[in-house]
Amino acid sequence: MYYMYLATRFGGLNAFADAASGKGKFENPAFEFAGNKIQDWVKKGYYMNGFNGMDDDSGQARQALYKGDAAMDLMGSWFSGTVLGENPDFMSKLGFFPFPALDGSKEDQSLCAGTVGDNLYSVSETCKDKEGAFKLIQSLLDDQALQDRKKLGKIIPLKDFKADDVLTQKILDTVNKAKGVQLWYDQYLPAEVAEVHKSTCQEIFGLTKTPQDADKELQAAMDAYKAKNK
Amino acid sequence: MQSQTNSLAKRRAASTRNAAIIFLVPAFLFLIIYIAYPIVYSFNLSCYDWNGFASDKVFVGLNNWIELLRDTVFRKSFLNNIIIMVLSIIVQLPIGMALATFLDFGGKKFNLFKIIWFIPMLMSSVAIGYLFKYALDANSGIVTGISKALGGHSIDLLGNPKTALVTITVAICWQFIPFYMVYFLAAYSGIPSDLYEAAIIDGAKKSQYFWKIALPLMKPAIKSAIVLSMVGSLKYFDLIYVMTGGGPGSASELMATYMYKNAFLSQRMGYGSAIASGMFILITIISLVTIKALNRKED
Repeated sequence: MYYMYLATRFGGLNAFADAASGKGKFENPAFEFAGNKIQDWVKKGYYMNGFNGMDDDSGQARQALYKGDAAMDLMGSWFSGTVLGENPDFMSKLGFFPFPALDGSKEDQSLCAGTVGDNLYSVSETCKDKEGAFKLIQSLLDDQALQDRKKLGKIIPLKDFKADDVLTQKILDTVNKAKGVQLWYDQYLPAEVAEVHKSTCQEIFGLTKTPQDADKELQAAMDAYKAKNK
Repeated sequence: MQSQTNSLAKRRAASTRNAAIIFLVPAFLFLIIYIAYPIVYSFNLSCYDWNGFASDKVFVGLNNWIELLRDTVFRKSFLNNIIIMVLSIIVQLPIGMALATFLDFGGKKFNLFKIIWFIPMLMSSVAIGYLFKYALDANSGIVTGISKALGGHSIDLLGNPKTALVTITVAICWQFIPFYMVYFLAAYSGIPSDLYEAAIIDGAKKSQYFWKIALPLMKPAIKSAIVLSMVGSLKYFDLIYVMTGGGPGSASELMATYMYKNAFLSQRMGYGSAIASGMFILITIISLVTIKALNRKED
């Protein structure tokens, strides 16, 4: 996420969109800036020891936050829902601020990273009871379902939606003000390129690859994919 | 009379043969469906470019194999497998043997140890993986806790590319030492107790009994333990996948995790199959060579 945010702050949405479409390349100043900045921060010890071996599923990063060892965690709006279920007492200590703006950048600094609307439903062409399936989907979106989700700290895609808690409302306001949203790189990119991106990212954070080499590798993966799927 | 017994013997042989066929057919079918067919199908798939669910598979000939030969990550993961294999054999087998010897000499008194030491073997790999992951956490784990108590700073073993692989190997050893303990314990029980008594009456010390009598008698068991450990390490997957996912970068990547990533995460079923088939070839060659080398020593 750091890589994505930094690249977006520096190069806007187009840096990535162009690289992904083939109009541009991953070997460009935005991605190099992101990689260099991350390595600069790692060298200065801004991240806690062992951060590169943590995974979110086992909750190690959240534990560090709960224990007061970590001050912040770059995460998405689901985070408050997880905390609410896992450690409700901690909610009073939890705040939110958007990724800081980059001084001197010409790009829009309100851009967010993530997804707008997570659950997309589709019905298979070969479904025997399409009407029934549609009704089921409708029931997932009826008033009762929406109220239940709201209680879980989810943002519901309704006009004039007001969240139950201040935190979720603040996140919603930030997203509403944003000029655009950068979709997760690993979900936007084809799977085989996305895997390379995740791997090179970990190597950038681990200081085992220079940002230049990492970008080159990602570009090579993208080129290979393009060559195969003309 | 003569011909009658003959035909009876024949009929008996025929019925034995039929019974054998009937009993073998289920196992044979399972072998074909779950072992033989997937291997052949993997080799077949390795010649295609396929994402795993699209209806069209593109035939690419040997392209995947050429890529595999040039793939530095695959080479690295093969080396990692070799490292795990060597460490497993030189750590797990001697410790397993030492524990088994201790239990064998101790007799029933040590049954409690037998139970306690066997516990890791009863846990699922994923549980062990998470257990060690938390225990080795750089901020709240045991190692860091001890280091901090002694005035040191926090220690990051799994997030550091230099230590990740060796750290996981320690966890793998913890998991599998009990297996070899029980294995060697069984081998001990195969040695007739007369031999032990005879040796002691002849004035042998316990150490002499171990080195001169028990160990040579357990040679076949040790050999198969080496082969088991070797094949197991070469196709190892679970703990690595749970603890580091092959990371950081590809520092602890194994052939099996790399195969999984390619086939199912990168959705390159063809290339994943090429890796799987490559693994099959490598493991077969290494096993055959080792078995041959081990058997030659005996002559």
